[in-house]
Amino acid sequence: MNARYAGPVRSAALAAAILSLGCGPAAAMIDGVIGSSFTFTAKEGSISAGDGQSIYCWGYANGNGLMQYPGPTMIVSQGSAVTVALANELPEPVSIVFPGQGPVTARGGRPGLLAREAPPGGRCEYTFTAHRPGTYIYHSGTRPELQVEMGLVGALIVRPAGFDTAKPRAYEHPGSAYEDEFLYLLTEMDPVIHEHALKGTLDRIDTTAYWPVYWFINGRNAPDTMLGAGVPWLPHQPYNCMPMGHPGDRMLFRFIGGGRDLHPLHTHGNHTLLIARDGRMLESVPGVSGPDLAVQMFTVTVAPGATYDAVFRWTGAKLGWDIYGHAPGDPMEPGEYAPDHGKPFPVVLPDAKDLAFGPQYSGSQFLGGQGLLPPGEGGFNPTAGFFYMSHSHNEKEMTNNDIFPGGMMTMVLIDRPGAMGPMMQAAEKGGN
Amino acid sequence: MRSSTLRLAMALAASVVLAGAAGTGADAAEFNLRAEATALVMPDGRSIPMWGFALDSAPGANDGPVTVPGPLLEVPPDDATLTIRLANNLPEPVSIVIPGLITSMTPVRDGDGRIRSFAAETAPGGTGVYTWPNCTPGTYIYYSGTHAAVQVQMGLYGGVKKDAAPKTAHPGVPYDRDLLLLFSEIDPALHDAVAAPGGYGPGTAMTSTINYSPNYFLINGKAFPQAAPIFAGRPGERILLRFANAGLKTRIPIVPGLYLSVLGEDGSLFPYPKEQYTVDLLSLKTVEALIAPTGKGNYAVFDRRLGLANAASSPGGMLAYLGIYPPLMVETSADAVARGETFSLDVKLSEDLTQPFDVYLVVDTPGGAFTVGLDGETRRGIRPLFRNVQGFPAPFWTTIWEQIRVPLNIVPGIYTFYVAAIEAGTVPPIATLGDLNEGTPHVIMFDAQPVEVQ
Ligand SMILES: [Cu+2]
Repeated sequence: MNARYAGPVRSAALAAAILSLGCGPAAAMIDGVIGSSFTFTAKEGSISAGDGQSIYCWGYANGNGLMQYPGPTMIVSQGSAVTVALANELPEPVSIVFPGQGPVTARGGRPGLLAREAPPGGRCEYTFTAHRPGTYIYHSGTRPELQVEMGLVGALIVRPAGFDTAKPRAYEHPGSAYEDEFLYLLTEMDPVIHEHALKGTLDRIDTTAYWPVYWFINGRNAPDTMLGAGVPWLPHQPYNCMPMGHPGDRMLFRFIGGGRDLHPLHTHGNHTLLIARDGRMLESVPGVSGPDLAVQMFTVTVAPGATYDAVFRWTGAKLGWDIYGHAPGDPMEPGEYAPDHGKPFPVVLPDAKDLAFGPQYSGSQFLGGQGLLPPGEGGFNPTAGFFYMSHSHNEKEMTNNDIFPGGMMTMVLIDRPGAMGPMMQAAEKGGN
Repeated sequence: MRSSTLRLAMALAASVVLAGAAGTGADAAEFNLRAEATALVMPDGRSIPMWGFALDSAPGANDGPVTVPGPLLEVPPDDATLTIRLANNLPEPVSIVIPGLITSMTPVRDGDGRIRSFAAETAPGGTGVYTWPNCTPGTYIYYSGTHAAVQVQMGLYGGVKKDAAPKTAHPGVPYDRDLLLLFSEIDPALHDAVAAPGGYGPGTAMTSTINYSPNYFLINGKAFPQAAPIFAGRPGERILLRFANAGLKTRIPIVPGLYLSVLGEDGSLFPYPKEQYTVDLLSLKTVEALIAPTGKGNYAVFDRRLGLANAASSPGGMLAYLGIYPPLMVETSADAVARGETFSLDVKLSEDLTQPFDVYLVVDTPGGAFTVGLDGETRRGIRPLFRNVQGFPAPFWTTIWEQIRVPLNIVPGIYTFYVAAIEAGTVPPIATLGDLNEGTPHVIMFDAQPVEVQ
């Protein structure tokens, strides 16, 4: 076949479908609740696992909304005084700890081991100043070995002072600049514990016998990770995780260890450049040098409670062939890896009748390219992007209760310049 | 170890009685350790048979308590050589290894060639000598290198520390105080099997540790709530935390209220410290980290892998508090209370107060008075709390504890409890409460704690 770059999709129906989804901002931003004053309600609800299983959970709802897993992603500005009012509709006292923020003052409720707690039916309130930008976590400080497992965990993102949505940075330093950002909050669940909580047999829960069989990114198992954010059939799991970008984009992945286990988070297509941990850049002179100690990681070991900022930047570098199928004299695409410009694809593809097709094959090996496909094949990749898996490299964690594939896995979509996958637009529209 | 028997012979020939913890003043630190059975009682009352180490004042003295973890071995900065004389009161051979400290080791093999011990064994009832001739600064773990799958879990482990210079962990890394936080776990099934008449091993009910499944989680041998807050240092001090993991599972210690400057691991420094509030603490790893808290209080440190239960009961496990206390401190059990509620007030005084002093307690109130039981009613103003206290011996601080009920008719607002230690017999020249601070004449130490009445 070896068809040359066939140009963007010409289907009028598909173009109309994409347009109907509306135009989001240029850069993909993480879904969440933006502000400095938050009202959460700890309440119950059931999530849907990747195998269709319904799992009873406890979670933080935004205001008096639905229980959600994970809790609302709090997006605050550096220097702001953050207030979180917590109401508790659960049968146990609950609380919130904000690791890396401090000092946190609390009022109301009653004293707890790690934070003041809202008793069942009660309230309490936490206040802290978000002194430093970065990626952070929050979770229950009350029986966390049970309540984090039950779902009382979420992400906190502190935007640096002077944050510019047109030129976003994770930290003050230009070395943390990015075009698109994506959250990977990693958790696990042992449904036995949740069954006891549902039946009210809390006294029969032994958290030391914990044995997770579901693994989540942003509260969803694969393949649901790749659905749009806010899809109506996952009302308690509003966040997706399907990073999309273009060649050369700096895609900021904010990894958070939300559960109890360590997860080796691996990206296909390229390494990630680890620039920060626990809300602090990897720098030789703190506050001065920027991420000069950043390291390229094949796999980022995401430890529970810890956070990591990593930049994924894909250009197709060193593939040895032109990802667009350009002739040497053709103009360059933005973000294209110049040394491979015009280099031919090195193999001759077999004839179509000798191939098995995946739903994401566009009929062409070239980025943005379209080719002939047999009737009924393809169709899940209308912009002819490249799909790269990112997943826990503990392959057992790519299952949903022993069914492969699933679990802690998603796809990263690299689209040709100017193209934007339909799910990305849905995600941008779905953000609250 | 080239030959423990040779070393033992030399040691016996020398017949020098050595102090347990003190160096000889020459270039060798020597410790007399004894391996012996003991038990740890968990917070739920379960007694776990353990094997531990004791530090004896002299070989054969048998005068040290058996503990789990074993005693912290502090090698003085000038001592190049660490020597451990080991007495074995256990029913099977034991040994000592210290990963990260270089020495020659003589593994012991079973008849089929399989290694049974990483270092020369000390037989039951016998003694052995283990030497590390080039002891480098850092934090390390010592543990039994014999039948390690069983003996380490049974409790034969402890910490080793050596500084580059007094109060200097490594060249260029000074600290004011340091603290070992040694994490370990217990799977009671193993301990019960080892202690049972049939014992553990081939042909018994428990033939291996393959099903290791710990359900007690310890910091410095204690499961929450067994440990009171650990005094770690004063506000503003540089405090070196020496994390160590003698268990078989990865732990992620977290100090949610502080950032740690993680200096290095396994006794070696990183090129640059890392600012983190979590620590990656894998099995047998040590991690050194500095904290410099400016505020007083009890800072929680716990295992973020959430080993926070004692078997099926919660809370428990690997939760402790680092006490950051000024030498004089007032603490309250709540920072916000409702009228009619009760809270407690603690005044803590440390041994740093060496001169005679009086303590004054003052409450700054927006309106209304508290009754503080020691001396009747307290109003805005100053009054003696108690007098002519002559400084305090150990324990480190002394607490004066008060249970206070908030009157129902009090005005809501911020009530601040001030405590001042004042030179004995003097009266500070205070016209208004704002005058009372650390710079006020005759005031030695001063602290304040606000409480919001709702
Ligand atoms: Cu893979």
